Amino acid sequence: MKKTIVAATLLLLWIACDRNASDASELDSLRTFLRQHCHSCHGPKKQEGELRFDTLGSDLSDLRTLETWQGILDQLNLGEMPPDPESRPSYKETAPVIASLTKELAKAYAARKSTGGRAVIRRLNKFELRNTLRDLFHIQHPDFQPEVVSGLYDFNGNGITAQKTIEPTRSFQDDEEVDGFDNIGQQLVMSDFLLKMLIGAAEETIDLATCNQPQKPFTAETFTAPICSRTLHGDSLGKYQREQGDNYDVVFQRWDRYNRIGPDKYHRGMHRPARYRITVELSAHNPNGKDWGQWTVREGHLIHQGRKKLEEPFEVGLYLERFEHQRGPRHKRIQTWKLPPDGQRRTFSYETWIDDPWGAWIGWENGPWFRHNAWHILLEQWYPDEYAKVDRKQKGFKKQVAKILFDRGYLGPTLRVHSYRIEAVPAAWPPRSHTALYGNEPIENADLAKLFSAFAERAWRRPTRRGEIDRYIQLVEKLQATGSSRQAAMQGAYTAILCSPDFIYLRPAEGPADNFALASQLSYFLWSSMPDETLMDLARRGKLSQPGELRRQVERMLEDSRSVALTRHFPERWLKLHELGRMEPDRKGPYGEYFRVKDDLVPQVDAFFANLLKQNGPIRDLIDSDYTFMNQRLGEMIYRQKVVGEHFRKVTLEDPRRGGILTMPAVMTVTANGVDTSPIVRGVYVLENILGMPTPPPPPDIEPLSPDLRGLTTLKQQLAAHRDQPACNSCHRRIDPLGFSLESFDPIGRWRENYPKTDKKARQGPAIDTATVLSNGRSLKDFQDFKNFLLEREDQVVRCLTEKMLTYASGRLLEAADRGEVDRIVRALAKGNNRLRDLVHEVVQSRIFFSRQP
Amino acid sequence: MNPTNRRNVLKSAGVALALPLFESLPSSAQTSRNKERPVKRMICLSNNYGVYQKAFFPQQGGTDYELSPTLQPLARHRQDFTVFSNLDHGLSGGHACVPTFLNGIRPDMASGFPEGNISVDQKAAEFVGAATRYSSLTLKVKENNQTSFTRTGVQVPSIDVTRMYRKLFLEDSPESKKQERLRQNRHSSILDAVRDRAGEVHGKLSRQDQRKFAEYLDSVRSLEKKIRQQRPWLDQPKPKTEMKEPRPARQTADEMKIMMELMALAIETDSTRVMTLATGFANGDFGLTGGYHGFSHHGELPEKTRALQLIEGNQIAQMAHLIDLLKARQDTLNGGTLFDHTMILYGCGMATGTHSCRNMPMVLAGGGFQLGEHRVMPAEEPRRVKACNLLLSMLQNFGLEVDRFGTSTGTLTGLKWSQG
Repeated sequence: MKKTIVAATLLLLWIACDRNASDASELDSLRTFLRQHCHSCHGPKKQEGELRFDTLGSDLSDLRTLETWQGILDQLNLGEMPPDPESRPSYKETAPVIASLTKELAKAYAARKSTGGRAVIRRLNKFELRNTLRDLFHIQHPDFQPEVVSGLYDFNGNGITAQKTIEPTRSFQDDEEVDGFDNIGQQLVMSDFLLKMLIGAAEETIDLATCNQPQKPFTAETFTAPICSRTLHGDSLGKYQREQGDNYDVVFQRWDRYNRIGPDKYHRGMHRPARYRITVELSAHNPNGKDWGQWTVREGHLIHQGRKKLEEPFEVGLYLERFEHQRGPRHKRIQTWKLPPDGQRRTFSYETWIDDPWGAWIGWENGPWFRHNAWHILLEQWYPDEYAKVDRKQKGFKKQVAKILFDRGYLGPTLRVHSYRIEAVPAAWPPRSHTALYGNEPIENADLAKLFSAFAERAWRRPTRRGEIDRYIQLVEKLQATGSSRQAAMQGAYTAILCSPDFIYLRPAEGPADNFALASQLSYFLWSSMPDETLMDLARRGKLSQPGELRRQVERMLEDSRSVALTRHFPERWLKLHELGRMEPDRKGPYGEYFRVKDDLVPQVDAFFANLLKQNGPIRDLIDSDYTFMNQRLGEMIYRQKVVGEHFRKVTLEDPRRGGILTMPAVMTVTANGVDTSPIVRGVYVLENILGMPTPPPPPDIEPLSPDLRGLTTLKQQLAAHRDQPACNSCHRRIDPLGFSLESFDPIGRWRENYPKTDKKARQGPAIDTATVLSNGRSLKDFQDFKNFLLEREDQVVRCLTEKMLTYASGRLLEAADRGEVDRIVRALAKGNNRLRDLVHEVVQSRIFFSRQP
Repeated sequence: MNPTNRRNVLKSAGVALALPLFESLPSSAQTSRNKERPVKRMICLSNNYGVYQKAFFPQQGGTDYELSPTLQPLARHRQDFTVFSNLDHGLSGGHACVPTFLNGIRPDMASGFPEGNISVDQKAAEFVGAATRYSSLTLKVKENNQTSFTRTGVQVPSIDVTRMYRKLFLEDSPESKKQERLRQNRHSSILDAVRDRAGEVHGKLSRQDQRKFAEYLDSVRSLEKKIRQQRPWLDQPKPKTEMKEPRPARQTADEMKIMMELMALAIETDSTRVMTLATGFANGDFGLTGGYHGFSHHGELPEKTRALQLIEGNQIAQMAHLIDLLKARQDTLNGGTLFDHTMILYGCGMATGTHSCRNMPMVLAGGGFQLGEHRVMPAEEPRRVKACNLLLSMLQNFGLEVDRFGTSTGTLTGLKWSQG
């Protein structure tokens, strides 16, 4: 009797479950298979391991059911059930079952993580927090720039690390990520540990913004020759020139460490954060154009002049340089001046904020490069008779050479700096960062209600309601009563406002008219920071959500310097470049050059992406282009192409294979492990991030492939053997061929024709073999073929990028229901020839980004 | 219950069985328990690249086995450790499995488990609570420690020898203590205001957002509790030592030796009862040129496998040194030696440099476990045993009343320990 009731209940339950389950039929089609092969042990008669499959439900939203199906899949993958090998079904029989079960389970897992296609509250991540604190407190400290990378750094390679920035999120852990994105609301967690860090970060930032000291006095000063007598290392021509007693400083070369002209007095930075005006008087000289032009070839090498023609104007850059260790930008050009080489004195002036550790110098942008302009080379070229007389080994040789060069006449182009004036721009003190917190009055008279509501409105990105800030006024009183000063008590209240969920979490829109949520959504997409006054004002007037206005704002925001956050952060997350540095090559190994370019890898991608965005360039340029961005180091180490200068610039490629983003050393390094390359890893990467076809993870209990480097088989043969295993074949026939095409790039992204030698006696390592056949039967000869293949699939690449950008912009994972909107965007883009800036507009206008339906 | 059954019980029970989200406040509970139960300590040692298995695992099983080359330095403690074969978490993912050593759960899988991917040390630390100055210490030598995770999935940052020394022995000045007290009071008041505001916000959220927001509410409550628990420690003087403040050494072996000394001191002074340590390699150690990661991709090249054996041999030798130190010191809380009540686990979540996560190297010593053999666990599915079973046994030995941890299917069959 009892049994019947139980059975009936189970049956009812099963039916009930089945009704709910959407994909029941898909699972039910597997039941025949289970009946045939499994029921004898896990059925009505026997329940080995307390498992029974005939009563197993199909509702995968039930964890217990899901786990059991997963167990079945695991066993099928292993191929060890039933225990008797004789009665085991063949792979041919299990393969379709495995395939459909894998698909169903993947769907069920996705559903468990689903947010129902709507955004959830989302915690500000580390990157957004830093930018927001910068804008909220009006902080101009350079450590808050989006390009700055914080964290521990081993400055001299002895294993002892130290923090290199002072920005308040420097010791935050990395945020939780999914598919590389670290701004997915569902994924970002909160912990007491993080809350404690947030309190600390808030307190530090408030300290930075508070200026209790009177401003240090500053007297404007004009520096004349010698303006700069210091050189960092060794001697320079400039140093001897300055001993000549001329009334100007001469620059002979492009700015390297000897040729930066800034006053000795501020050699270690200004150490007085304020706005300054810098005025310099310059003249450009081509003393003997004819002679200069004649000696451009030496020992077969072209001597780089910087300028292609003598008539070209000189370019002079004004730089800010920070005088302490850090991994972010060490110096930054803030202005470029041009002057014709006619010997006329001209005055240039520029105003800028210079923060604590920074100072300013000027340098010649397009002067000859110092290595090609060494003084003994000059002497040999110009005065061979004198060159024969000097003894290069003798002490004081350099001084002797310099003397001859100046006595007989320096024939090359020179830049003269006649004066360098620095003056403070009059500004209110204490600065805005301070008065915004404590007002202009003495602190005892500060109007707490007014200050707090103004601050909270900006911090919470919405108008504050009456009564919401009373709590913070009470907190000030409470803290003052327990022994805090009034300022400390106010700081406590500001900290509390920052630790409130209104600041920490971005909330989803409350409706289609929620303009404030839209303002935040927009500014965190394009700036990774809080909305500015313009956006807030539009939101207050309810105008922001009008499509025309939205478009105007996107254009304005992309032109703003804060949009660096987008070009800095989005490509990094899309291409998973944040993983760079997790698997570094050995410093002394064959790929040790990585350490000379590691800080250039991501900026290169950023520069390329930013340019494409600015120009509204075609998305296909990301796959293939006849240009790229590089600087001298990357040119020398990776591209083997001559480029002069530190800055990233658009360069026409000598090797056409190296266009696009995929071949950049950043991508090639992140898809290798610093030791060797794997076609599997790179194949998966291309499928996931370029073609948007993620592959399922390998079945559990599959051992990773461990290449045997001693053996006679090539990697390709080993992989072919691996693909022959039926369980691996279904995915690896798609993965491996794509990866083979990329084998032409070594673990740090240099082009190579051979693998490294393992046999010491061999003349060279085995040749790279990129010829391969794709799963659709198309054969690819080499890497260029591979690029053509990707270009033919432009639609797919555009769709992938669209999905990635929508994910980044909306802060949630896309779901099946979003498909229609993605299709719409892809179609709209195709009409305009698939351009990048259009994509940003389409994303902002889409209902995935901001739903206009209630 | 045989292994098959236990495995399947898990399968069918799934991960749906939830434990209460927070253990009850342990500090008071533990003091009362102290009378009947000894105080136990837990130390977990690991590296980030696994081991060269051919030199690591002994050939024979049982008590009468011949020590493998890598394990030679432990010869003098032969009766006091057990090495396990065929234990693992059943995961794949190469380097992504390094953080699974102490929990059996990859960070990306954490959301499916009631306690996330909390690691065994943090679980034990929650149990210790405020009974010691530090509920746990997460340590590193040369390379970051990736093994320690809180229940919200946050990786606990690791500290080096210098910071460890300062935490243990460096007494703050009266002025900075005063500041700290003021700071704690201020933070309590701030958190009061934050909690009130959070309550208002919570009421206005949708059901789905409320679930997410629960994390925030828990964080506020738990931080308040921690501040409360830490307050008494501020007035307690730190222990004194004659040891000078160490600096990270150039050679890994030297730095590890200092670290072992500090760990023994931490236990002896009862500054903490739970520690994890991850160690790496510095170019130039043992006259080797290269990097740990490069060696671990050995491809069976003899110069690389030799390097790996040197590096791993040192890790085992340092473990043996730690055992020496603990055996030589009296346990003032329980009687006997510190070693009798300190369990030490050596291992790594990624089993070998070939990215395989099968057959994790696992060596267990001390803590009152009955040891002294090479336990060869069943190699064949479905009889394989999850490494989390060993972690569960350790937690139970530590004093926790739990019957599940990570992906465990039960305690490790046949692994006994004494309560005394």
